[in-house]
Amino acid sequence: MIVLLRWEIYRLHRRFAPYLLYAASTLLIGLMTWGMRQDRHAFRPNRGGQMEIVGDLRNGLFECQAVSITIAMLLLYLAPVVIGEILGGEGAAGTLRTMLVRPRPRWQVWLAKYATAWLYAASIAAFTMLLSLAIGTLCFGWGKLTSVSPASEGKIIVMTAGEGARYILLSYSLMTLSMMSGGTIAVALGSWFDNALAPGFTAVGLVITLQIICGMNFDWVEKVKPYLFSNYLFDHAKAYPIAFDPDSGRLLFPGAAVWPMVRVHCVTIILFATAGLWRFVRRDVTC
Amino acid sequence: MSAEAAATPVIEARGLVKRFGVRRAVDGLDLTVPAGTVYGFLGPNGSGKSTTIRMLLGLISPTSGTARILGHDIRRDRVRALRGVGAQVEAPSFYGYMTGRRNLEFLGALTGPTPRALVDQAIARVRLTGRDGDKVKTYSQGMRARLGLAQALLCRPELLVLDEPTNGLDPQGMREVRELVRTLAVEDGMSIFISSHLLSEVQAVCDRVAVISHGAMVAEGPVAELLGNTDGLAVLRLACQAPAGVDPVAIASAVPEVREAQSQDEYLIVTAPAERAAAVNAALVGAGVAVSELLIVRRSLEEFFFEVTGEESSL
Repeated sequence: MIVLLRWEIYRLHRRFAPYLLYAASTLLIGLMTWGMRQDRHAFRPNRGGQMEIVGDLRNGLFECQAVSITIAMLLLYLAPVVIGEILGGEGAAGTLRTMLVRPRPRWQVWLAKYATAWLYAASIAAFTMLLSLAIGTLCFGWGKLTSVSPASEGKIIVMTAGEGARYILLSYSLMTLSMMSGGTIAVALGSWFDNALAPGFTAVGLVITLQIICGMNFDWVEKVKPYLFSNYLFDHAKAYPIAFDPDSGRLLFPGAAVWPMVRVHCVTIILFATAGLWRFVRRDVTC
Repeated sequence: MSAEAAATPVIEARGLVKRFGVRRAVDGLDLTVPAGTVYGFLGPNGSGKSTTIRMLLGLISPTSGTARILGHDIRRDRVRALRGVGAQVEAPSFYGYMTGRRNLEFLGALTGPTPRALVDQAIARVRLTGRDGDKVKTYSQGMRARLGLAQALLCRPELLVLDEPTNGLDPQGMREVRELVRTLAVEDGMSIFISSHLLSEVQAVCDRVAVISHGAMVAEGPVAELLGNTDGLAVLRLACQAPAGVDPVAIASAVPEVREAQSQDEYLIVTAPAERAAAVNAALVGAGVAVSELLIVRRSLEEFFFEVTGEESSL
């Protein structure tokens, strides 16, 4: 199994397409850094006239957080396209039959590919996080993190660099989970159909459709929304504390935002992964 | 190979059926491939050859029936069944962005530990040495076909399943594959199951053949037996001109071991062992008959194929 996984990772990174996401991430981080350098006053917000921030919010941690909240979202749509090709592309190229006439259980082949998809999503998140951290630190220095979580409703929380780094890591981990909800749908579809592009684009199409549905103002939508992964797709941005424990004065873990997201994404991933594996083990390889 | 292993058929299919919707691609196929044979599997396009091969290799599940490979049920015990099998199914597909060697190393790793020497040996056997370091996307169709053979040979298989292995090869390449198949069978003791549309190729290398049409078996047996050559008789066709009063039919009939002689159109048709052709010719010439042409007419696998499948041109 380890041998298979090693080969899958090797093969993934021998191709051109997977690097597009790294390139997109680099470009977007570069643009964002340039923008932040151009307009430093934008990062000294006056919160409704109640508070004047003195000094400069910008540093490596701040940029890393800003990237996760804004541009990294694009990766959530792009990742399934690349991930869908990991399995669907094999069928389209005819290499699947060459692999499956080898004495390996099919579930092992599938699992190696799925694990590679996870590693790829995690590597994209890690790359984006480390690059934004490095560029931000180089351009603006290092220091405390001033959190601007979308869940804070106007509140600003200032964390030590250590706390900030931990929550940034949590946020990027949740972003990987979100990426893999769409990614798992793409892998599941790739287990069904022998096509390089269709599984990825169909998965993205499904994600967007569900997001549109989540945005509709109907009673039934409100009822199903909490169970749809698309409702939590960008909630990694809410993985920053928004309050202190009044007794201990320590930052409170944002469980109300994190746990529902983790639960729904995990259920989605397990559901689609099981369906994909079930299909792959039983399917006729006619390509 | 032990006596028990030799007695176990390498492929044994019973009542194999595959339905795609309402269409029966394979219809109750029984197949027994004895160990140590080179077995040809023939059929027109769409007759169910590839579907059968895919079922035998566990790529698709039969609707009903069973298939045992090297004594193991392919559905229940797929991994053990395929452990001794090297296979190339239809056009060989590889990762174009990787070198030929890398592709072999990857496919070898799927089988089990594959020492470098084994990869080198497979590359040398198909004469790809020197090009194995190039990316597969730069390979010609013939080179890909060779690489397909190399990957099938990687695990030193007991049974080699080759689906149209000479596709894309030039005449020289075809001859090399033919020789390789014979070598693998004779020197390495491999059992080989080969599907090809090149009937002359099959006739040249196979001990036994099966012919399927519309998903069902229409003929099966040793090549010589199917072509009716077991009694050692051949048909001799002679173009000759006899002087007045000389009957060529009577002269040919009088030659020892000649079974039958008759006049047909402008030819004299003689049924006799092929090695008696010279004696027939000598007898006729001796009687003053001018023989301008002598042809030993052998029934080819192609003719036999068209007879049993009723196909004329759709191979």
